[in-house]
Amino acid sequence: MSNTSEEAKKKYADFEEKVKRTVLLDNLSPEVTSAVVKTALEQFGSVLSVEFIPNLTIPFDIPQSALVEMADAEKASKVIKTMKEFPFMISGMPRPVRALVAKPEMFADRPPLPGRKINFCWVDRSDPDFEVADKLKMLCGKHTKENLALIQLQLEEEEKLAQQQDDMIQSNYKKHEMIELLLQDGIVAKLANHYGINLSEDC
Amino acid sequence: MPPLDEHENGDLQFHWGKRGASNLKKDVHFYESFTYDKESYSLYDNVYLFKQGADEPYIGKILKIWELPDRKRRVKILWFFRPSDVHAFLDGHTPSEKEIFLASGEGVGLSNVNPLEAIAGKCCVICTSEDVRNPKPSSIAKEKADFIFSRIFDVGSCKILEALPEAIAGVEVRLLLNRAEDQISDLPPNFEAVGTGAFDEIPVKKLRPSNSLVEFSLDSQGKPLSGTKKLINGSDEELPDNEIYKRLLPRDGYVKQANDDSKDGPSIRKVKLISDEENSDNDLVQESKGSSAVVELAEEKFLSQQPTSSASHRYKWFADMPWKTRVEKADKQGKLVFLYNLDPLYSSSEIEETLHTALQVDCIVKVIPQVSFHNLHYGQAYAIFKSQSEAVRAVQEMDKKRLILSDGRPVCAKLGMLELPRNTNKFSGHLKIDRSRIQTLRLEHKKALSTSHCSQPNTIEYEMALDWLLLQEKYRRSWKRLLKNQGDQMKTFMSRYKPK
Repeated sequence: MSNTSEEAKKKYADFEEKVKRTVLLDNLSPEVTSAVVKTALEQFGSVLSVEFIPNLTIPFDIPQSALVEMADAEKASKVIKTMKEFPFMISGMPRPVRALVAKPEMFADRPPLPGRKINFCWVDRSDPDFEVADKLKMLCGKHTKENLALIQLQLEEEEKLAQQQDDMIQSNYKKHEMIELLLQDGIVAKLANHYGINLSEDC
Repeated sequence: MPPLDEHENGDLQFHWGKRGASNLKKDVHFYESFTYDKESYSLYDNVYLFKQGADEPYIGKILKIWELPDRKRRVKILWFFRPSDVHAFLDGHTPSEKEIFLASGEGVGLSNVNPLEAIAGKCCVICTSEDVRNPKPSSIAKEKADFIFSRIFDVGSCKILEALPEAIAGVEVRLLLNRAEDQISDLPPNFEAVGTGAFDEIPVKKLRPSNSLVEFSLDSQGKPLSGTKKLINGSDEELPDNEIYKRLLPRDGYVKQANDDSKDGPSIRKVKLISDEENSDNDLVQESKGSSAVVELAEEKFLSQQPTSSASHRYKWFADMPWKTRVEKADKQGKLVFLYNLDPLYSSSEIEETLHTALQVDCIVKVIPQVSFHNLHYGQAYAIFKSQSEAVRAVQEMDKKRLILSDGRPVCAKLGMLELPRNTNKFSGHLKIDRSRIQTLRLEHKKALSTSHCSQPNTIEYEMALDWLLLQEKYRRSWKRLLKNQGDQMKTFMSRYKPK
């Protein structure tokens, strides 16, 4: 018995080590693959594994997130520090990816915490606790809805920002294009000539 | 129990058949056939690959057989899809009974390299395509087949196609269809009259099973062969022999067998059954209807061997099947339950254990990882039950009464998968400019698409990135506040429990 509990402890300790050297990346575009993430983070140190987290519960198109296991905890914190200091882009811009400290509950395959025992009790309708439990259930439903509403709001706002930036960049390009065109056509030279302005750079 | 790798006297006997064409790497040996577990397999045979915990084995075709320098044995398997696997892509095609689809095209899911030991048994698959390259199967063969196929599923475009291509996975399609032997004409109508003479000295028992596995129990003298013992030994502790016979109870396959008998004599026939894999596609005494029993046997065989580590690699590759696929499959079968309002720190195995003691059911649980958009107060998990009825029962039970765990939360459960967005891959915030005139900028973009970089403060991109960071921070705070409020509310409600 003591043997198995020792084992469980060891397993959990190993897992905790893994958590420490892992980074959660989110705001990833759906085009990003594990190879891309690996190449992107290899500049900080060797990448042991990349695990994308599938979305199985959220009814929206949320950005991808992935757990990236680095060689050691030091490398992991370096990733997080750098990404805090500089906007870091993977597979597109300008939306940066975000790096967060990994936590045990981000791992679907986490081992059980040694020594924890889950007790349970069945409560039926006659028990006064039944009502409390029901309330808690309803609260859970309400909170889930709040959650989804916030996600929706966030996604909408993100879309708006993206649209704004897109408009801005497109108009910027248009401006540049127009200037280039005018230069190429010789219209600028003609106008300069007309107004007697010297445009050559050496003056 | 001896490990798998021990040849001849190992528990699962194994020997190589004909050497295949040699290739450049001289350490790797290719073969055209092998005998495993008393069954002969050769290239392009259809086989079951058993997945632990699943009710349906996978079906595939052997494309290549080889041995690595470290003596590990490998097979390349071209997959068949069951209609349920490609449910989403049927697109109006209604699959006929027993119909499966051969994988084709290029992409994930076409073929895999698997340990040879993953093979659980042969499978009789008949091609009913009208294609000229396909020898037309006899109607009996069609009827007796475990599965039939005439259409292919293109894994690249996810479409079901009628026309067979020139080659699939680099193999001429001719080799993947029925073999010429399948064209043997239908049975003569007078089979009932045949064989009685030849059968006189053979124990009646022999007639019963339609399954060639049990056939091994009798050599030409009618003595039990050691092979049978082995085949069923995984289960013979738990099950009396008659139980096994019941499982392999006769269908009508033995009639053809009797027919063979009269032609070849009993002793030859035995040899034929064991070594003849050429005929497999048409051989009525193949594992046709008994196939489920074969799988069960294979499973028990596996379970009984679990302690020996060498056996465990057998089904290892199944673990690679993504959880999402398993969840979707279970959802279709009605065996999926979504659990929520759990402590977010509980692990999958702890929940499994709790459900086991509370409801007396076994299920596979996997918690939902708590990342960016998940509510950190509420743990969630998907549980796959063994059957639909068990899943329904569990949900009803939790609906009737409240299952309260040690932290005071009542577990919520509901059947099926949550609704997810169609895979639109929508993602805002990455800008693309498709102006061919702006060459340099375009190049920069291309680079950005394939690489990653830190943004420097002197670019327009940096400014825009800061907008994004601002937005991220804003929502990080909103989340924090929302979670705090929710946590407080939860505490208030928890305090209303009667004191213990």
